[in-house]
Amino acid sequence: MPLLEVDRVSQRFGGVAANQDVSLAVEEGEILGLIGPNGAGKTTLFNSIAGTLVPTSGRIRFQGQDITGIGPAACAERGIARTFQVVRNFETMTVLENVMVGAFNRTGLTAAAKRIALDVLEFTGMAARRDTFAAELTPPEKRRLEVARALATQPKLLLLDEVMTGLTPTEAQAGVQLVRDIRTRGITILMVEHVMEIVMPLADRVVVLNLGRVLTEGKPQEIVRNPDVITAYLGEKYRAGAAAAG
Amino acid sequence: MALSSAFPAAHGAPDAGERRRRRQLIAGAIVLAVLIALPHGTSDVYFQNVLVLTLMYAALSQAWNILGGYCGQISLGHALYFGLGGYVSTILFTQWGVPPMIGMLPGGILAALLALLVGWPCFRLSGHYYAIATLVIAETGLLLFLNWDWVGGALGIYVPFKTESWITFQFRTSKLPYYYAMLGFAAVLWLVSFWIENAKWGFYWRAVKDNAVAAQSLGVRIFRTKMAAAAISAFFTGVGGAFYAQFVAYIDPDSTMSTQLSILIALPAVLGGIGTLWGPLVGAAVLIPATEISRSYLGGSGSGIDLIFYGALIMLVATLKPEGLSGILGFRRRRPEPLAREGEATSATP
Repeated sequence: MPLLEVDRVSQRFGGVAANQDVSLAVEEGEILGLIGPNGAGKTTLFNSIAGTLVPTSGRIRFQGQDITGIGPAACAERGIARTFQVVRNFETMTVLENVMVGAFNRTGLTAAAKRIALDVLEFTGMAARRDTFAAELTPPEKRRLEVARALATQPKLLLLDEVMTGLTPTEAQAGVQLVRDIRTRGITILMVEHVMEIVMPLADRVVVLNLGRVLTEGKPQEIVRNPDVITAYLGEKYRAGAAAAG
Repeated sequence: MALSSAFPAAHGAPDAGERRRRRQLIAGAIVLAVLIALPHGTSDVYFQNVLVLTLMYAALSQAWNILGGYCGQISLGHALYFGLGGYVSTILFTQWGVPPMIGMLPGGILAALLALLVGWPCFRLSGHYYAIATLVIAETGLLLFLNWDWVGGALGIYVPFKTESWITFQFRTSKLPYYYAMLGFAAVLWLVSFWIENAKWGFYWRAVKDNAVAAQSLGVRIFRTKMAAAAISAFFTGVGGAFYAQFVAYIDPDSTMSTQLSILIALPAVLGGIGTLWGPLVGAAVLIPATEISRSYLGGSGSGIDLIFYGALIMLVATLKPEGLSGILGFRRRRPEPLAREGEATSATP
């Protein structure tokens, strides 16, 4: 049984079909990349899985249980944590306090929440910044804090929404390493990325969305050679060239 | 997830947060000691009266701060809970002889229930709409009580003097017992705030205030969290109303349920530092004596100079130091203003 099953999910906003009959499965322990050009419906699908959006049709199952439309807080309780594309930290709270809010997902005790939070801060390399206010962090630190906060909820599945966007190559490299470390801890990861170069070395498997539908899925090496993917990203005129090169 | 304690040193290290809390507790003990000694410096009844009112508004504002400060839900209708608590304990006392020391509990509980009733529809509103809704609902409550003959209508209820004791909470010979009762009440609220700031609820309230969408993603149930803040806040406000009714031995809708009172409950926290532990006390210590003194020296002229003074004080603080007086005095830790947020729309781009 896969950890997460997306079963023929469609999402409409008025006349726009953001997702149409999207089905995919995330196996326990894997890193699944969800890619696609702008407007492919990645974030919509992501928000449906995280409980923020209720799909127009289709079901989402987590550990075999139907979680369609249960809401973001219930998703967090069941073990699905997420980050946001646009960073959403608690700006007037310190780094430690931010992470403690996440840790309270699993405990009612302040001392226990603090222990969990300190562990996560060590793990994510943010321990030295624990008394800094979230508003005063550098952009890559803010992203790291989002990941730390999500980890503090002690999830089984971590949803990362374009966490590498806007990072310099060095920072992105550190981010890639963090994602690998998280997986080593036994946490399954579904990551949405716009930039292919980041997903390819990380993901075990990649699902490509285009125009709201699943275009294809497979191993990263296969995906980068797939002419349909190249067309979706770069347009028709690059297709011939890519085919010639391949 | 077994994130091992590979760095145990970090856990034993002295903690900035813990040290800050210890300092606050020591400061609290010192302030309490000063306040215990304070009324003995004078036998002036007027001065003692001002002190009682100052402590009462400090306590009420501390209660308001739980919902308005930590949780960020600005209520402009807290007088409704104050008045209800006062009416319940007063009616229990005058009709059935229930001593106010006991009657204040049902007063507080009914106020909390009312806050839940108000919160049920109103917490679905956000920001300014919640503030406006509470203002209107409190005004409706005022009108209901003004026209409700069984509770005395506009004339109110006089509390008959029975016996001088702590059970009836009636004292004729001295104002001091009232002072110490209010001091105890304010101290309880300070301790509740101190404790709750560091508890799960306190974290959740601040998280909801800062970024509700992010809080939800971490398992925080927004509606339930706000309701808890409203109930706790209203309970203590209702208890305060019961104290007040015994203190002035009279209750009527205009003096216990008016919009002006709602604002006066919120102001010390706003002036002193909203969402801070010391804000309500500092704000009340400045605002209430200033109000009372300017009213007795300037108010008689009928020109409203005392109100102008009052408004000027608030404008001054709002302009110079938006985080309140306790920010100027360095009571509170430095806390940056939240940055302007992008739209709260959660539905993403398709």
